[in-house]
Amino acid sequence: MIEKDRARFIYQTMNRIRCFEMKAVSLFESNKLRGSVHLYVGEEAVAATVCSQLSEEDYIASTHRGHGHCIAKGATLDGAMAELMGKSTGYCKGRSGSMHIADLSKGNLGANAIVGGGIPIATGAALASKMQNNGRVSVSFFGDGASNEGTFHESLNLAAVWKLPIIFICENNLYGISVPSWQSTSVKDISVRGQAYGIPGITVDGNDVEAIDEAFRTACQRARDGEGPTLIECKTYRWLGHWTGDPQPYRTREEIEEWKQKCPIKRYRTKLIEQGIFTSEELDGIEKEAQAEADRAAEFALNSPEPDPAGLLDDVFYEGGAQV
Amino acid sequence: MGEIIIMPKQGLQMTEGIITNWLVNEGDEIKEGEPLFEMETDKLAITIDSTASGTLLKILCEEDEIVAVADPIAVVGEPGEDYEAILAAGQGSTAPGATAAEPADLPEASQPAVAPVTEAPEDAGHVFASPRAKTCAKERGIDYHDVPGSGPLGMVIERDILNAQVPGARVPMTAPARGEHQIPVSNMRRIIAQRMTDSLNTLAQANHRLTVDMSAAVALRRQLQDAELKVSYNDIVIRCVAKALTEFPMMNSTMDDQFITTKDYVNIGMAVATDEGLLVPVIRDADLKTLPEISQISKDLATRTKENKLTPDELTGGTFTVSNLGMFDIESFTAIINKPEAGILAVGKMEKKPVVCQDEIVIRPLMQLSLTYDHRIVDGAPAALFLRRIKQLLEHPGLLI
Amino acid sequence: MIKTYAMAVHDVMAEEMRRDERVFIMGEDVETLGGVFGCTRDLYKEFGTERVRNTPISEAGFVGAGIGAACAGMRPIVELMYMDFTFVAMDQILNQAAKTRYIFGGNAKIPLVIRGQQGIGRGNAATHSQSVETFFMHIPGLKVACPSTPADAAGLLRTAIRDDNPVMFFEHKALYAQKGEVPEDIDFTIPFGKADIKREGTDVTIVANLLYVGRALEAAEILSGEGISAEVIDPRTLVPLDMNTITESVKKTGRLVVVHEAHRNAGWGAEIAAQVTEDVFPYLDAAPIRLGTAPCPLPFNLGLENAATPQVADIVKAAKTVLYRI
Repeated sequence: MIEKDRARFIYQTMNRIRCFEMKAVSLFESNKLRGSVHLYVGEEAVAATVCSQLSEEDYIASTHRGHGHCIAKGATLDGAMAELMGKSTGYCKGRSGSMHIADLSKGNLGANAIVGGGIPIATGAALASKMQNNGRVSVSFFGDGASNEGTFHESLNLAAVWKLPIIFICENNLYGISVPSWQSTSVKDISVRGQAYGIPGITVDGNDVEAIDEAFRTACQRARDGEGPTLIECKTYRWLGHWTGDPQPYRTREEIEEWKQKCPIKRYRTKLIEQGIFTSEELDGIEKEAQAEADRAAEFALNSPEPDPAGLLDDVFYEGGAQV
Repeated sequence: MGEIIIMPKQGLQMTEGIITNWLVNEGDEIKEGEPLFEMETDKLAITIDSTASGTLLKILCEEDEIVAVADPIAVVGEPGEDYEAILAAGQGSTAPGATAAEPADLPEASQPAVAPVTEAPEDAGHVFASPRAKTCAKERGIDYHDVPGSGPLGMVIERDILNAQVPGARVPMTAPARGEHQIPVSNMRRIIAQRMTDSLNTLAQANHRLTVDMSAAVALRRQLQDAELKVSYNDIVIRCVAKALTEFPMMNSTMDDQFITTKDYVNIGMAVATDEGLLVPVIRDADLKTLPEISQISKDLATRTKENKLTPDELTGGTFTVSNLGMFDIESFTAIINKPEAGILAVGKMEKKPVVCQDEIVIRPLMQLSLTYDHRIVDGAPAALFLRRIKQLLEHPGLLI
Repeated sequence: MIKTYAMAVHDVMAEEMRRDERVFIMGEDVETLGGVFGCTRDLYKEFGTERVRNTPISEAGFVGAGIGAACAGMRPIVELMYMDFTFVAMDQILNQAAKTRYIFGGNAKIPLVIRGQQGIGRGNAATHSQSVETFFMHIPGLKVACPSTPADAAGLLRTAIRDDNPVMFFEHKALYAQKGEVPEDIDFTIPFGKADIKREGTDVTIVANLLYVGRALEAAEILSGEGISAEVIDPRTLVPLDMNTITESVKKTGRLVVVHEAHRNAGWGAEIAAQVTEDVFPYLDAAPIRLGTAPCPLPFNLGLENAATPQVADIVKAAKTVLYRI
């Protein structure tokens, strides 16, 4: 059983992500939001649960499906939505959009639109933590597709030889865009790839908050104890298309419906009530709050100014002079 | 069988020539290839050989007459032959044995390779020149079209311009033991030279002068001094000129082929001498500025001009210029208009002098103003009114308020 | 103090690690072997194997780790055994390191140096002899430095290590043994974006970097014997690029030859020639000439390698060509 404060955080975070994502869909459909928007709906348990055990100082590196991680690691919905809409008030001043959103002040090393691109970077942050001996851990989120990238294998090896404080979280949502895992990946459970690098690998139900929580606690402890990395595979499912408007000929309605029945938020709600941690009314309140926050974020983003083209060339380089 | 001698084209740019001297008299025998006459073009003097053998039947052009290229100048034939018949036959069609199928060509037989190969591209009227050669030619006032090119395809390159012999160009001299020195013309000097010459060549510059009683200006300056506001007489002049310009928009204008453009703003250039040469920094919106403001700006501009710290912006955009040589004891002088402005005011030295005032001789500080104006834009009378208005303002500075 | 180019690189890294504990080196064979070219020789003895860290042969992995460590407060120097190996890590360099600060909305600094040697001279053939610096000036966000002397190597590397941006630092294997005076000042830096006029002249401007600075100077000496005064300019950094020194020189001379070991086609010389043509066209007396490596992979055989790369005689010929002296 997860302690009450963290349980609230997880439930709240899952709902904030869900509401944020659905708001983004509606803004996209009403043509107020452009570009690639990769949605996390259905996978919220992973980001919310993992981040409930992290402090602001710990690092995460995220993926092209990164809104959930960003929010779970502490982003405000306002700043995140403004970034999705390319506004100057966004986390990255409108330069990043959905696919590159980052908030280093909260330890978020960024969404990464190159599949597998963030894994070595998270590994490097873990190297820094180890060299600085500051007790921080890094979490590298990536999908099943990325586990076929060289950077995944290189990073697992590096982290293993150097015993780095990092947890590799594979969010296996069963498809790389349209290609099912079985067509692209040589193993049924990606967690077995940990064995190749001499590190623990474990597969959990990615829609089960408590299962994720348990596995991550062990991995996190191992990392903080200096024993090195762990690979956790969370089997989950993306409810929506790869992008808004994806006709999804590669999977059936029935399959999608079946996974919607396994909704991580509903499941955890039932659990929380069963465990007597929160009442149904309390949870309703959390949900309403999340919805209101998402609505406000959309308003904030819509009313935010566009970035000034005069700043186009700002921040290509740090101009503050050399370190002394 | 007679033949017509024509004015031969010598070089690509030649369109006409002057026969300076016939070397053979009418009725004399002449052989092909022997000297026939001397001629000049705008570029050269040359002796031309006969292109035919026989008797010089007729000279068609007098000495010193200007003749177009390929026009007939003489007729050669058998003794007693009718030159007019030959001429008529030759001008009707190509007479048998006539040399000029292409009038511009010299006789083929005697000079088969007349045109240098490198000149071939120029036939189309286009002369290739490198960008640097063009820039260099422009700086030296040379028309690069006249310079033979030694680059690829006959392209004119920098060294061709440097080697070009130009009429009036100074031949580099060997330095004598004592006496003369060549100072390379600096870029700034070159620009000043160009602009001054251009101004005098293209504007109709006329000049008015008058003398101003500066007593009131002296008093004003003293009052300001008492209030710890330091202004110069030149600042007062600039302030008055700025005000007068708002009342005489034509003096604050520029002119092109179609329009005279008047300006709602008054930007006064002030001529500043530096070691390198004359610079004219600009006081923007001088008409909207108070005297102390003008004073402050002019001081700053003068300092930075001498330190060579002006921005290009500060050196452009003037609508009228004030030039003051009073500090060099110059009483009055004529300034050259700083194009494209319509006028320039030359300010002389202020000096106490005896003047007649109400039939009495009194001592007054006097100063001469000399206005050069562009008579294309402004006639004499309005220019006079403008200058008188400046005088009025200087003598009654209260009017500035 | 007279040092070799390799020693200059070695000493600056040691001095900077002494000065700032965030600085560390990682790369292949950098510990006990001291790097294949000896640039990190014995450094592990002073700084330990944490800070002079051997990596697996895993360029994308450890270049990426460099980025992550830089984001997390370290100042990594990543050594690539051959700069040809950047291609193995290209995504991490071009998509990650170069873009991170910008796409983070300016909320990140990436004090990362990726350094190593490149070029001809050892018969390393196609995949170990290339000059690849041009790739990295095309994508915004990376600084690109290319020292041609021991002093430049020292001054530029120290600037690179102290810079808060990712710097691609290209050394040349054939220069490592070159000796020269290097200032002993442990704060001796050479600012980026400041070209160096290695020889003054009035008739033709020759721009060159790395190994070709020396070759251009040799050519200038030969030209001087023929009455031609060549100015030799080393831009030293391609990003930022000091075009001003180059255009001022061309305004004076009117002629430009750019020579580099990078391939001639779409090499950085093309960029310089284009900018000069755009900026100071009226001053040009001839079209600029680019010299660079032929459009073929670098062959192993020495004769073929020489045939593929510009020789001193080619530079002399190009200078005379722009002067119409051929």
